[in-house]
Amino acid sequence: MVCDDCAASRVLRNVAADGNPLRVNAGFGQALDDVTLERVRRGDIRALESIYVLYARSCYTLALRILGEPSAAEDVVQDVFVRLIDALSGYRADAPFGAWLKRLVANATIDALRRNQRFTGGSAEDVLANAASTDVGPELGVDAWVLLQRLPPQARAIVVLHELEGYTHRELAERFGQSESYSKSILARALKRLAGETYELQSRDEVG
Amino acid sequence: MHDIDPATLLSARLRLAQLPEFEPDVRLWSRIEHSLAQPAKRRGGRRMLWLGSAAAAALAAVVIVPTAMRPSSAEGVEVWLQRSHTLEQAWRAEVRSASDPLLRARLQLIDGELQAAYDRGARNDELLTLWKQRGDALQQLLESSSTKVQAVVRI
Repeated sequence: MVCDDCAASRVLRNVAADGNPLRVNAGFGQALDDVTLERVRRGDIRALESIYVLYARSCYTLALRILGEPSAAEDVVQDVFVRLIDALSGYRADAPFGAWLKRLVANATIDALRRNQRFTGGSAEDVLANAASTDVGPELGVDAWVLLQRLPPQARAIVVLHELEGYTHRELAERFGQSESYSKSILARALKRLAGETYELQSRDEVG
Repeated sequence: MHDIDPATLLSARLRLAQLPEFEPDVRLWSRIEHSLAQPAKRRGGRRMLWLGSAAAAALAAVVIVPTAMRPSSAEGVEVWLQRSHTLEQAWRAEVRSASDPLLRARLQLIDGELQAAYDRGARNDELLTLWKQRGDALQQLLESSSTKVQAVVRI
């Protein structure tokens, strides 16, 4: 398969000593050229691989932050890329490709939460109730990842999508089938918890 | 109820900004490729059926491929791809039923050839020729539609 001018060639030219391509980390904001996109539309697997090389890290990171389990996050990324060629018929190029891909990953991740019955749709108090009883030992230190994973999956999804991926409360409300007020309430409580636990852990470290 | 004081918000956001990024397992692409293998065959089969019908419908139209519109080879596939998309949008905005059926059949034939070229992983220079032909076909369709629409309006 020859793809002399497309993104695949440009990326795959950068090969590490172990034979694996060097991944460029510029997130979902990386641009994708029309030639590669058209090849993928037409079913070119090598062009699809070039998209994977560009965006796999961002896709996986987004899914993992919300799901918290590597195998579940990989399943989401696999599902998205397996369906991508067919899904491209719905891409109208009126938004950057990366932003469109991010939506696919976010939607697939939320679907995975629902399938695993981790999305309860309960009140903000209920959603965060279980997290309140969890304790983190001082040996873990002030670790952003640990703090995020202490939140319930539903709250984690809202924090990640709103604070890190730029979703609005209206979009979150539509996606979760709840009101905007619900999304705001979950976010406010989750951020307070994140900030509060930060202070708590910092204090423990200083005492220790 | 939803208010957060600025210090708390800042603290939480600073913490979130420190979140690490992660690389998926190096074998994940192989899994994806394996999953794609069967659906790809099915897609290929559908394309062949479509290509066959398009080719049959356009058989008579092949002879009218204009030789005067040989495009420049200096321009890249991306330029011609964009031109083709732009022309297609313009054509769709016209009264498509007024288009010459032979020209429409020719467009279908070129689309079939393009798909076949992509399926076999054709080089960009081959794709370039086909995208140029598609642009020319759309240009003729547009001109054909406009002429007929103007004729109807005059009547």
